[in-house]
Amino acid sequence: MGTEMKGLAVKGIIVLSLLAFFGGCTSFAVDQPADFSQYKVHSDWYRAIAADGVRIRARLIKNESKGSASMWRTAALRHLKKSGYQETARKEFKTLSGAEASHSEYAYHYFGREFVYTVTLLVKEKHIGVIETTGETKYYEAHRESLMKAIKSFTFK
Amino acid sequence: MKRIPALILMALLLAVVALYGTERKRATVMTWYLAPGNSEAKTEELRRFAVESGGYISYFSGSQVKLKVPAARLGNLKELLEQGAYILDARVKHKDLTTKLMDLNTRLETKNKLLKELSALFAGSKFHQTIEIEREIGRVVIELEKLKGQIRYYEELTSLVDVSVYYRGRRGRRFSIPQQFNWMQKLGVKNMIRSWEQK
Repeated sequence: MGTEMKGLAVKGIIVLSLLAFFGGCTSFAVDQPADFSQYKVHSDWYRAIAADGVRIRARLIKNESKGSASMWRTAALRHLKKSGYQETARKEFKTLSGAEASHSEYAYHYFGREFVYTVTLLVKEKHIGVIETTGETKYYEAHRESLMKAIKSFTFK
Repeated sequence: MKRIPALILMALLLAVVALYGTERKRATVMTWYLAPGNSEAKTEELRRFAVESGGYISYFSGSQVKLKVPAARLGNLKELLEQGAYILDARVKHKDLTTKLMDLNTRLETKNKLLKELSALFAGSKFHQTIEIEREIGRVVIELEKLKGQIRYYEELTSLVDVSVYYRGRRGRRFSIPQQFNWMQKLGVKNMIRSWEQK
């Protein structure tokens, strides 16, 4: 990764002005984790990847059922468990902007390799913020702290 | 003369009591049909379970896993199969091997007795008899080993359950997922990795 890019990653708060899912009226911002490179700027999803393949992805979903973060977490948990994911940890916390976040971590086996997968859900009225991270278990630990920092930086705009 | 039928009846009664009084020895064959969310992960879990429970995997492929598991761990196996998968069907077959094992053990006992008698005869035999007795001892020893092998085989059949797990797609009527839950279909490792391939 170039110095220019790295500098951008460290200081950069990347604000994504998104056209939201249905008709677009809101957006979000998320800090880019250190040593990650943003994959595609012109997208309604925020995606960044590290050199070892650890990834982070964030997007906004329309909260059609007006469900809480906890309700959506339970629904996601059921869906993921049926798909072979094993929940290894969960926690509730507040983001830096004060939004309630529901965070779950899973273990998953894919192509003969062990993966860590996390999904964090935040709800603000009509929208759900979804932040996912994944990577091979052996590489994920090195990025855990910076990924959590990025997750906590998520802000609805 | 009148006592003979009574004695036969008594002997039969004793045999029945002996047969049903002993612990039943059954060979169990189980077949499970699953629709796993992740068949690769399920195979890995089953392989781990087989080793940890003192059993082993006898065969596996992308759509099937065959394993031997101690009967005492069947409850844990069922729990494991239910995790992250839909159980489509399950079949259990038992075969009673109590009589078979009792018969083999009786034959083993008789042959052991015969071997002892032949050995005693051999010790006191004259030179011209030794070859014949030696030949007979050899034959009995071979039969004994054969019997022991058969007993071991049947004992293993009764102590380890033969489990076959087949992976299938989900059939029948699916419950429709509400539209507002559709975004969840895009969650997960596979989708994340694939989303990097999309332009």
